[in-house]
Amino acid sequence: MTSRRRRALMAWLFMLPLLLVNGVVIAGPGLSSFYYSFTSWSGVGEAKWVGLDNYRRLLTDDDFLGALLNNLWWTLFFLTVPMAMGLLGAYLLSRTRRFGILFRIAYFIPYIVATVVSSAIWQNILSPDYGIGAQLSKLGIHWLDDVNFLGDGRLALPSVAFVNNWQWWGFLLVVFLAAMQGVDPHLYEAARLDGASPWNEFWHVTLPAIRPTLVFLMLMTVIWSFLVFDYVYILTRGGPAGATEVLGTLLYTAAFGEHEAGYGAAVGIVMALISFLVVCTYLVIRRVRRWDT
Amino acid sequence: MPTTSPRGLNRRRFLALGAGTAAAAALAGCTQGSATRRTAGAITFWAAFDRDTDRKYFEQHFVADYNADHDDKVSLTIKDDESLERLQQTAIASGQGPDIVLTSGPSYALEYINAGKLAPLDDYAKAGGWEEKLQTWAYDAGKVEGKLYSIPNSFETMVMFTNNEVMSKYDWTPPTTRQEFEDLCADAKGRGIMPVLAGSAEWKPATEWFVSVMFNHYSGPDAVYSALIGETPWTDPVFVDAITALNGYFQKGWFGGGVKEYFTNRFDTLNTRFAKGEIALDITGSWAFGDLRSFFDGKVGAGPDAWDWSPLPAFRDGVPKDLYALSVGGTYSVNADSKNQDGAADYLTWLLSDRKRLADAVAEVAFQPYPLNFSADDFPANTDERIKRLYVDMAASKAWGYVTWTCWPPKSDVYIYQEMDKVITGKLTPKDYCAGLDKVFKEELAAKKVPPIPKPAGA
Repeated sequence: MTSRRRRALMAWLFMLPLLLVNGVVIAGPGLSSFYYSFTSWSGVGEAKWVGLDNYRRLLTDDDFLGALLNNLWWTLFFLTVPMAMGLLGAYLLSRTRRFGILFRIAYFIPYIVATVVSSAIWQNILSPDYGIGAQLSKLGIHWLDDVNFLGDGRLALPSVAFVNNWQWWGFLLVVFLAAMQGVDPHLYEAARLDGASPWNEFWHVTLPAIRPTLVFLMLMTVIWSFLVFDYVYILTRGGPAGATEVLGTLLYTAAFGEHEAGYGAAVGIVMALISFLVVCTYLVIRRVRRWDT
Repeated sequence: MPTTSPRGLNRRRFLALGAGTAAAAALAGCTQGSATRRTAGAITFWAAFDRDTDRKYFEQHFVADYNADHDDKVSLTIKDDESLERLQQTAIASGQGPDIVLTSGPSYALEYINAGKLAPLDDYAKAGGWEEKLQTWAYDAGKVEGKLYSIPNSFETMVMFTNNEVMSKYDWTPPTTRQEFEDLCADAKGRGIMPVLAGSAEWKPATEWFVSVMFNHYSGPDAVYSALIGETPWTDPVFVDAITALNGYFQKGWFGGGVKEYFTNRFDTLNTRFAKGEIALDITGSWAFGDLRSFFDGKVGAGPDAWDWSPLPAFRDGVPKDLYALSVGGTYSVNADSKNQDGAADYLTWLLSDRKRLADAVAEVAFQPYPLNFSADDFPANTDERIKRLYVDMAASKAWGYVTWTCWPPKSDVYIYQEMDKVITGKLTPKDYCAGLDKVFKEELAAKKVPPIPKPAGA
């Protein structure tokens, strides 16, 4: 065996344990889900092959289409609001000389709070019985008297997204800040010599310099947005009346509530497929527009 | 299915809900975790509990007491209520899982039965005299095509709780007719009191409790039975009118104070308000006994003697009075892949064998007992008279109805509460709701997913 082949073999041997684990916990269940998505299966017992029936049913299922729209809204929200907050916060912090570390810790703390805990906190804050609206009312401020954040179908999804964002944006801030601190200071000096305003510095120097980080986080945001489950499930269970139903909660109900695991698998495959297509599209655009360079 | 208390929990599971705490190591045979391995001679059993007191009581009186006298030891694994059935379904699908299978009700057991995952119990039932011990309707609910596969693990019904101090203060009496109910609700609303305790923040399927009430006490048990066996469509006016009436109550703000509030109302807050006299009626299941004990403690409202219950009103002429929509809160079965089916069945026989042990549990921790043929003499002297009255009355009842979580197949059951939420939020009309239910139900009926339906009393 040549030394080159030996090295390659050694590399594969090192990767083998991880590949085995991935095969067992990701590839195996993934492939079985793909198979079950073409079956009528209750979750136990025999699975009956039904071809594309589950996928045809998805196209006419109002609950699925509603959940898909909610996921798209969620994606749009998380591609804009927390991104903007994280970028702005990081940029301002990068120029802060004093107490910067304290701010960073303060913004990052929500990210390390367990989802269940932060959900419980916000459930209480948003409660119409004893939350912020009720407390303001006691002070004679009645702006929120008739506002029920999680009980009103129009407000429920934005409210859940707000709670998720409360936890999430601090993480983005810290990552963006780390990226910004890696930007060559000479670029800023040159920009200032050319008379660039702070906004121009941000737009023409900072953003291009942290583009790889930004692109990666946007990609992950798209993927995570289609996988969202925990905050929705804990805060509203997809209610009221389906107003916050997302694909994750729909899948869960189908598989474990309605005993339609085959249909649930089809929902899961569509979730993965959407993320895959979005990411591929983004990668193509990035290549065409030469964002990497 | 859910369970003991509506505190966001499963009201169909006898010993349900979310404690998920480690079992005391001192109690032999009780383990925490997800192990599916089987020890020779062990009888594995997964359960979840609402309250720690329930768990401890069960471990002591239903596990340790059994283990003290038997060679095959029961090994109880405590699970979180949210994940118990999901984990169990996955385990059973792969040929593992506990020896004793707990499900949310006959329709859920049916999924396992259709998959050949539950063992027939007829021989064990005959040897253990199960049929004589259980009430007929409940025993029959475990049969599929003439074979017995499950037995009920709890016994519950929908009732109407009242706060005696409030009733007395406003000169109200528990309503027995639709008119009386609506008059009381209107009066309460006018006084700034929430007419009916209702909320689904912690337990989304809570909406089906009210649908069950209206189907049984407005449409009537005969109509429901006819629909459940496929003879009458759910689009029949008697069902559409029932849903229309329920929707009207929500729109008037009688249930939970209003539609928006309903979705964020939490049971602990509601129960506190009920004890304080801020809510007139509590239409809920008998699983609430344990909670009423907790909230009617005299610290923030009325004392322990101030609550009572009544049968639900007859919302339409011709519907029987003193009607109980009988519910099997969950089922026990034996895993077809169990290596110790005999031991598991022996344990089930033991569970059903002693009415006094169950009656003691009712007295001590307000457990929901199995639907045995209870008489007043079975209960110890320290049993709350109100609780005893319910179980004795239910056992002697000549009219019974059908609750959605016991008698409807899974998809129809989910439809009932999910789509009813759309009715009360104005996204769906009662007529369309019933048409949708009819479509989903007919599909499940054709697929033989409808659980066994006991005939109405006297049929």
